[in-house]
Amino acid sequence: MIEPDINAFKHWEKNVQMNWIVKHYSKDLYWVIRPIVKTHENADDVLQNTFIKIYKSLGSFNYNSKLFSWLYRIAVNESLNFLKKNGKYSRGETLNEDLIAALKNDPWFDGDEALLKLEKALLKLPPRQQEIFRLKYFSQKTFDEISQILGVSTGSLKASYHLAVKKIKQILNLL
Amino acid sequence: MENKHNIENLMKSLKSGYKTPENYFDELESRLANGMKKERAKKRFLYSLSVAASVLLIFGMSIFFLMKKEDPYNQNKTGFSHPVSVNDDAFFDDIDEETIEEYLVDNGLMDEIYDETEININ
Repeated sequence: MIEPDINAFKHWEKNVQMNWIVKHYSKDLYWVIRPIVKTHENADDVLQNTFIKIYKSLGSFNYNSKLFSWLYRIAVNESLNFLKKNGKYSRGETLNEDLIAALKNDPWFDGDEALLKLEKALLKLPPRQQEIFRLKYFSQKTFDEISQILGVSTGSLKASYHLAVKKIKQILNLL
Repeated sequence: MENKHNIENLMKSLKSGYKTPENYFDELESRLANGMKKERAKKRFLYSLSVAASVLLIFGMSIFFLMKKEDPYNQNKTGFSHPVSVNDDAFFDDIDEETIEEYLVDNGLMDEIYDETEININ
């Protein structure tokens, strides 16, 4: 995971900082957002909003955490806010059904029924376990990197991950 | 049948099911940079607008107070603060004679008026 030299980064002009973030993290942030909002169109909108939010709040970044952890939190919050605010989606269980329906109709999703079942199973996991799955497979982060991003120990992450795998297997049997 | 699959392989297939338009990531950088430029321009515009509005407000208030200060009618209403208004009879329309006379006597202006009248007669 690329991280800037924080001592140099904090003295850069805001525009230079933003250009660096766009250049190094736009793809990573897209893959944080896409599995949450599901469709490409939504992900593109949320990504733009995320960068505007980053631009506006860059001055408040306190450099105590890793830069990507901070950006990751903004991207996740923007994605969840998008789902809450967007009238197309309801909440709770129906939100999951709406998301699966949106994904099915997304011209930029090319998955069969088995993958849609897996999506449904993932949505049934607790939020933290979903996060671990998204970071591991969509953002392709290692457990060490996920541990830095989420601020939890690697051991606890691995335990959560294996528990989630077990749950998914159970859910898939039930579907 | 899902149990036959390894979850890891399934997850990898799931990600590969998520497509993006061709060259999306190549163009993304410049699109986001343009978005930032627009945001900066918007911020600059809003800043200029607020500066212009403040300047306009300060200018307007200065003009207002200046006009209020120089308005002789207004001065007259607040109590004959300047002798200039005394020479214009029009300002005494709604003040009774007694008050005017009292003011003139109190300020030693009664004699002055008589003197001027005498000069005018001569």
